[in-house]
Amino acid sequence: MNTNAIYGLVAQGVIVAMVIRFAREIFGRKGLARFGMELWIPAAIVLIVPIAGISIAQHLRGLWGDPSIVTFLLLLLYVVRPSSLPSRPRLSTCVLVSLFVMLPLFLPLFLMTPSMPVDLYSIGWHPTWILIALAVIVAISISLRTITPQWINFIAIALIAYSGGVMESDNLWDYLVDPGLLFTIAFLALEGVMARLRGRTLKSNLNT
Amino acid sequence: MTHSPSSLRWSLTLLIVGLVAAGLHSRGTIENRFATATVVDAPKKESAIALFLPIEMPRSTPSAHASSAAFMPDGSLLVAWFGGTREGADDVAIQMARVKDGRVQDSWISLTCQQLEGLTHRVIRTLGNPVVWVDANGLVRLHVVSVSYGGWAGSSVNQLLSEDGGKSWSSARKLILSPLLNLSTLVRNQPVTMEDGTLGLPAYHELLHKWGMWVRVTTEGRVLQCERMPSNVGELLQPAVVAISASDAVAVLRNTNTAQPVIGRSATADGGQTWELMAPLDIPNPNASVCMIRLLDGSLLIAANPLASGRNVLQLFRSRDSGASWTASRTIERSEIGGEFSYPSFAQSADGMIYLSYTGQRKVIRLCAFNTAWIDAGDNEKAAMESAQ
Repeated sequence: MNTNAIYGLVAQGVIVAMVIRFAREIFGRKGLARFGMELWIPAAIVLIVPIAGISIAQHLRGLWGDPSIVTFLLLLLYVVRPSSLPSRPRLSTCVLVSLFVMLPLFLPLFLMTPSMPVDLYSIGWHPTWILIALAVIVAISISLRTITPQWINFIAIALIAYSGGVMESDNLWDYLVDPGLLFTIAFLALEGVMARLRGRTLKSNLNT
Repeated sequence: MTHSPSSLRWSLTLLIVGLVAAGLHSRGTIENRFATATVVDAPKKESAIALFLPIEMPRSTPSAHASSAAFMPDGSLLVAWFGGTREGADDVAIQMARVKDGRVQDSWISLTCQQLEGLTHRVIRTLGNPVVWVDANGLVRLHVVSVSYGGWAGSSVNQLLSEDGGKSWSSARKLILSPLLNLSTLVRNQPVTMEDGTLGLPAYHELLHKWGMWVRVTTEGRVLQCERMPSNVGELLQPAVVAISASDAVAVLRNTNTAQPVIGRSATADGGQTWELMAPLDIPNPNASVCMIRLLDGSLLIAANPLASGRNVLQLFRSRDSGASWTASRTIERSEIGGEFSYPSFAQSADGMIYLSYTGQRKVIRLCAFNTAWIDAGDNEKAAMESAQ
């Protein structure tokens, strides 16, 4: 099994662990949760237990492919160390990420006709301009104090993974963004809102 | 937003490392030059006698479709197609046959869904459109369409390597060519060898919009470039590309536009870096696959279904001016309306014999071999008949 396959299969396990953790946030700790095993047992099942001859992870991989490195890191942090995640992404972060995802990924397929020559996704095979753009965006974001070191780390790790060919894709966009990133960002924002609501409820209970 | 200066410094260092590593990984430019065969006036061993030889192919499944053929270094012809109970069924496998001296020497199931699942570590529900390419050392590269979920619109392309003439496969790699979950990328016609040893793979996309794609891929399956082929006569797909010179190539494309059902055409003058839409050919196309080959004498040959609708006629068309003009030539198959002789694929042997494989009634793969003398004789007969009229 090569690096691409290992990354892809582990990523499916992390996606499943994330879903279970989120379910635990909603429904509370029950059963195995008290032993802290609730995330990793299903994740391991997904990786190992076969259905129709192949593991569930391989089914999931065929269904939605491999997540980008940035999405993978966000999900992994959410599963193993949620306290280190930005609890509620800023609106500017959401807009920036959405633009980064929407422009190269969705526009070419849904809005552009075949006769339109601009295909931003294709830049990802020769990503010099993406690298320059990333450096400029990070520099501006630091000067405006709108980016945390954590996000810079995510981008840096994605670039290092790209240089090592960790994913199947040879296109840099696929390391940085994917459709799932939009959902992940929205999910994290929702998580933040829920945490704030829980905080308010606790505060009002204490006041009464 | 507050954070410690030391953590920011560490992050910026990591980012610089990432930017440099990514920059180094992606550096270098692609050599956009086609490896073109030398044109000869007349192949030395080719017979001046008109030859046409139908070759009986094995029939092992109820359904067979989309063949592709390539020559092995020993002069035998490797033919691949997909077959099963029906197109899209989960028992569809890539079948192969080896043809030598006008007879099928061997045939076998070359790749099943389960085998590709094991090689790519993901579920595979069905297979389609195999394209074989053989290098000078006899290593066979297979590009094959696979579907995990959904229909052909959810398909993707895989590249595999065989060191034993297509009996077993290794080094499988899924080619990521499309931004949204890599949906809907397919192949149909054979790759073009580039001067730097990489391949130029004609591919296509067919989700929502349809367009041809020119994919530069290494023999290890690393994608170097992927360019769209423009389209305005309709929605063009399944490009068949031949190189005319080191920098020029012509592509003919299947047209899905029923309002203007003619073969689409595209061309490049910079080794495939950019593709320009050319005027469509004056050959009808009923939304059916087209194949093209550059013969040893430099002329181009197309096999197509030259009808506005239906695939019951399979005919050759020849161009002696690098694809600018085409003349109708021999008819390979003709049947009543409702019949189907489709998805042709060419290969030419070193002695000049042209092999044409195609689908017969979606049930069997047919194969015939002929030489240019046979094409010329047909053209002369046609010209004589036209002048007599």
